[in-house]
Amino acid sequence: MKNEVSIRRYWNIEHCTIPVGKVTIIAGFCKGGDDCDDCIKLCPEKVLERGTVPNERGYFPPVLVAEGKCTVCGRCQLYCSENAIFVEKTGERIVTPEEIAIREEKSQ
Amino acid sequence: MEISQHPYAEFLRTEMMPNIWCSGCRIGRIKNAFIEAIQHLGYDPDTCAVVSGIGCSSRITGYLNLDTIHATHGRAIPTALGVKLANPDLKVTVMGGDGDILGIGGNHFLALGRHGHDLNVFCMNNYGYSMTGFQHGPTTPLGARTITTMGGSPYAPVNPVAIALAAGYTFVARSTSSHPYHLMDCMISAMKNRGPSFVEILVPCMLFERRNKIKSLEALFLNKAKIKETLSEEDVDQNDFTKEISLGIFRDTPVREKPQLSLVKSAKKKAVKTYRVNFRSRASGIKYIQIRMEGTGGQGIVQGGKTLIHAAMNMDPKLNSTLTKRYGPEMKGGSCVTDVLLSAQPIDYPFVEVPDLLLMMSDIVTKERGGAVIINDKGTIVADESMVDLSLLDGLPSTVKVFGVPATQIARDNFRVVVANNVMMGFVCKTTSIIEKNCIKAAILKSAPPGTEEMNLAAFEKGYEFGKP
Repeated sequence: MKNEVSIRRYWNIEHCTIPVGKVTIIAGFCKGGDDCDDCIKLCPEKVLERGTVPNERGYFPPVLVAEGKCTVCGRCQLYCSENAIFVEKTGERIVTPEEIAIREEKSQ
Repeated sequence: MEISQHPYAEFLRTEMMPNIWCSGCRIGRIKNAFIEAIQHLGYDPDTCAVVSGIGCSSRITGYLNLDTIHATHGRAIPTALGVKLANPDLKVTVMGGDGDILGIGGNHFLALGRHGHDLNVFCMNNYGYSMTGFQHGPTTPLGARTITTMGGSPYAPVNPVAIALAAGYTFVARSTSSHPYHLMDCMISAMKNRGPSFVEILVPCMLFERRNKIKSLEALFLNKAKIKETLSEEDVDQNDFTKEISLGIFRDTPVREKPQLSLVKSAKKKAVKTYRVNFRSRASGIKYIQIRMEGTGGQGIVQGGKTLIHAAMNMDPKLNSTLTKRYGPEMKGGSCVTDVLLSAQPIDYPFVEVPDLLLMMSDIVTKERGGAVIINDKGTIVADESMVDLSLLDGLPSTVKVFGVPATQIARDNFRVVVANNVMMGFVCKTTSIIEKNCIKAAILKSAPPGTEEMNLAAFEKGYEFGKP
């Protein structure tokens, strides 16, 4: 794209590191349910799953299932209409050779 | 966890949240993309203003912590134009729905492209008036069911991108809420463009989906829409869900330079004789004078009052003065009164109560009042003999000075009726000597239309000769 708006702005490709993030869900704001499950659907690492406990307005906010796997791509944060979810970068980790192999397999 | 830790919290009015949109509505995502676009461009939030009209999508202004205006329905673009003209440094964005921008404010949308001001119009097209229960709007697709077109919409929809291209917008793009990164890109390009920019954003509406039994418009957009680098004329068309929807930038041109005005020909200036009257200002010694000029509309009553006040200002610039005028809706024939106050002190009340000098150009005002002439006991009346029934002035105290001059008769015989006020002015100047002759002549020259100075001055001289000191 023209203005280089990339989902990879948190990534550091040169140093072979991936950010590690913390996902925060504001359950009171969420309007998830049958009509909206964007954060669950679009997460590349499958960090989230649909919850079973309704919030005070009868919607079902997602729950975290894989705490440390978030790579701070920021998709859930951008896609959420209600601003009910956001991610923060907590640290970085070096990419393991297995992960690179998996990605290369996928791309092929 | 609190919303205040959200990365967008700086741009959000968190006290207004959670927002009102339906579950599954993606308008909030456009808000997020807009925030990201501002963050990407590095704009100061204080220099961004957002204006919106009425509608679902116009609620965005309620949640953005920028300078925002929630305007009346359809009038978002004129309001934003006012903001932009008042402070050209602001980055003004108009957010609105299709009903707001294309339906009710359609004319303003066309006019903005013509005027070429630097506004960004982001139109969220959800195919109808969704806030009130989904009535059909300008962009409702042919055959779509809404609550006002239960058997399917019989009207062909308008194409916002085609209209924007035709109206002369310098930046035209289309995106959807399902492609927020592309949308962000379009928004950034639109804000960089220095002319009127238009981005059409397709938004799924839950009500539209349910009425037309579409399972998910979001999935349909993701499926049918295709982002293209270069777009042709065929890509403009989108309103059919069976075909591919082309996303991308249709036009991105710099602001066109304003062409030479071809219809206005440079007029050759005729050599006009310039008139000049020299006068000398001095302390007039006037403490408080109330002057009333009354007559029939068309005799130049208001003009006479203006001449009088300018002449007084010429003579003594330190005087305070007011001019008030009262007349009916008729151009000619109605009653007309002009009040002039001259005072050495500041004036608190601008209307004349009891005039010291009454210039009666006709008796219509007096007759409307019931025949009573209001005048100070030591005042002066100058009446137009040819127009005023002089028997009205009989019952006045003997201390009142009454002068008569056939001003309208003189003006009609020698010039035109419109200069009767200047004949009167000349007579008043000679008889009362409140204001100097040259000051009045300069005031006449100042207010006379070009080409008629000679006639006006001649009329003044005629009245001046007629009077006796």
